[in-house]
Amino acid sequence: MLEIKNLHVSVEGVEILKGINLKVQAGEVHAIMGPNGSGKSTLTRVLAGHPAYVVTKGSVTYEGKDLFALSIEERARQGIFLAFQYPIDIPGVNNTYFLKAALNEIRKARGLEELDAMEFLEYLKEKMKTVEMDESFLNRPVNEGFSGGEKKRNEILQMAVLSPKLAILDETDSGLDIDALKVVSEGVDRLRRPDRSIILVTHYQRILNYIVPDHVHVLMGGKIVKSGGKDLALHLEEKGYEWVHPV
Amino acid sequence: MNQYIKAFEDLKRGAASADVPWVRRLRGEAMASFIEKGFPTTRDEAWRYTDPTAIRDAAFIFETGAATLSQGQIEKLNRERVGNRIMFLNGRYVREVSSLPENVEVVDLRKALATNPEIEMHCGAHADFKQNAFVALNTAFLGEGVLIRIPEGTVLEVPLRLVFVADPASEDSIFQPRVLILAGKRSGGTLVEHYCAANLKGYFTNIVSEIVLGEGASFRHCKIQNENANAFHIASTWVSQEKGSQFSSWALSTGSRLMRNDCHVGLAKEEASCVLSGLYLGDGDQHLDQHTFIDHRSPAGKSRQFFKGLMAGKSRGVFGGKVLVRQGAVQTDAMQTNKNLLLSDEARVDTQPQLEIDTDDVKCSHGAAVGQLQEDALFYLRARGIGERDAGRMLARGFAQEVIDTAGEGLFKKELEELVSRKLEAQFSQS
Repeated sequence: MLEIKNLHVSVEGVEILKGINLKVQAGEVHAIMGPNGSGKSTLTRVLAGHPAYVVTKGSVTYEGKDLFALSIEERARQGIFLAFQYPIDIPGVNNTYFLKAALNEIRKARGLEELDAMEFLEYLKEKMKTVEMDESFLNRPVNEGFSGGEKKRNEILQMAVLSPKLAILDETDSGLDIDALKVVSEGVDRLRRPDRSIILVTHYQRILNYIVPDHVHVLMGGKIVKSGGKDLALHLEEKGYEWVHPV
Repeated sequence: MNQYIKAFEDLKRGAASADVPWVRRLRGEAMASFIEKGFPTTRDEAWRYTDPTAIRDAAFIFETGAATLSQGQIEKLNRERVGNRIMFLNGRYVREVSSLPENVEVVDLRKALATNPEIEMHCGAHADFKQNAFVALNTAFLGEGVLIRIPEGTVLEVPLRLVFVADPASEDSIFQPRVLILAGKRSGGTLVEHYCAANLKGYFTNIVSEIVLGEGASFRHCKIQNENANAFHIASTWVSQEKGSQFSSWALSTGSRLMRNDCHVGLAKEEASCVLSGLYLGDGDQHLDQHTFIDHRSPAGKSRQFFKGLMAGKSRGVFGGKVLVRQGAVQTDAMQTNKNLLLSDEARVDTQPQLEIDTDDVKCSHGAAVGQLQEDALFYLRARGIGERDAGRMLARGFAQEVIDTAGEGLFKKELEELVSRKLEAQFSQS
């Protein structure tokens, strides 16, 4: 589904990613762990197409296509979803309106009929159960006045609604208390499907108790320095990142 | 200038010669003031960012003869009749296609000037022609327009709508309607002014409104300025508030090539309050200038202002808002906010909030900002599959929504939402 080869990325002239290689097959969950400043968020944003990141070397193919030839919205329409570490407030734009507009763009790209307001609402209410979200959120502006946990829940709700092929979760667990972590993680776990891949970027192991990964990678200094199975995360939790690679 | 002097002389010798003395005197003084001062230039502080040279240099024509409508036009307008409506065609009040509320007095201004002695106290007493040349020009030709008198204790159930339709026969006509609203003690209601055009010929609307609110009156004034793209629109509204009265205004400006919208509110007596809100949206070469002046003259007055601008293409927006708290106007509570969004690199906004406080014990604040669409927000929406242009429009709409939400529920808000959406559509189809 996704193949990253020797990816080098710079921001404002500073090289952050220094040769990433990663292959993700359909249905797999890959956890990417690493200390702060290792380039985890950069990787997620460059995959989604953030304009501030410059690819200086390497390639990424998504479903056999050159990912970098696609605009931000084309990537989303072809099934890539980024759950933001810091979801953006969109004042004055109603959550339901926003979600409906997004879903219909994606449906259009997939050759499906657009949903009308009634159909969408029915569809949305079903999806809201996934993240135990209160209906009152729907009529509020996107993320505005949401607590940290509510914003993260809203991201996962968007994931459920947009039904991506490749979901990239950027520290979805950060800033969540134990209860919220459980709700959000179980929500994600429910969205696992044989035809859906997930890249889960995290600093801590605890989210992996709920979303058990197929592969774990350690990202440090802009490179993947170690890969392994789910047990690798437990070792990291116990021994710290210095165990893998002295900083 | 010469065509105005000639038109004024014609008026003096002709139809106006029979008018009551105070009206003739008022016109004469206004004309003298206009001749002396001439049109403002960008050297005048109040016109620093808006250059009315194009108005000065145009040879505007005064339409003569009575306003006439074809049978077809009358039928068309009558089909659209909803609620209470006062119709103006080319600046002239047209009684036949108006539907007037029963509990309110609506009189052709020319007739009111001749017969209603109460008017003398108010007409020209609030709109100060000495400080504004456009008010002087309007006052010099005083005649077209209406007097609206809401009796003491009367509350309008449905909004009263003033529709100004421009359908000029030739290019460069000038329309100078005048509206005088006398709202009695504890009266209330909503008045909507709507400006639109039936064709694309250029014209100049120079309107002056005076609104006098009696003690405890509560009045809402909504305005939709959707003149055609070749029109000039100069409007000034002068509000005088008695004790405990409440005034709120909401102005949407989307039309005209050049607009200057002045709202001047005098809180004459204690515990009066006003809320002024508005949106101006420009594209192409439009120049939209929104000015306010709140004159806190008595204790415990309260004023709130909330204006936003969205400018695309090469358009230019101006906001000038002044709050004056005079000596003795203690416990004044004044707040002013102006925020602007530039939707293109070539658009421009000049914002000039001003606060002048001549007394102690007041609470005043103001803030102004000019910004662009946020990159991070655009990225967020695009990362959800929404195209770049739609994402921009959605953010712009969200920016406008905050002010739209202050318009209250009802038909006016629905109209606002529709017009704003339509304008945003145009703004984003250019960029």
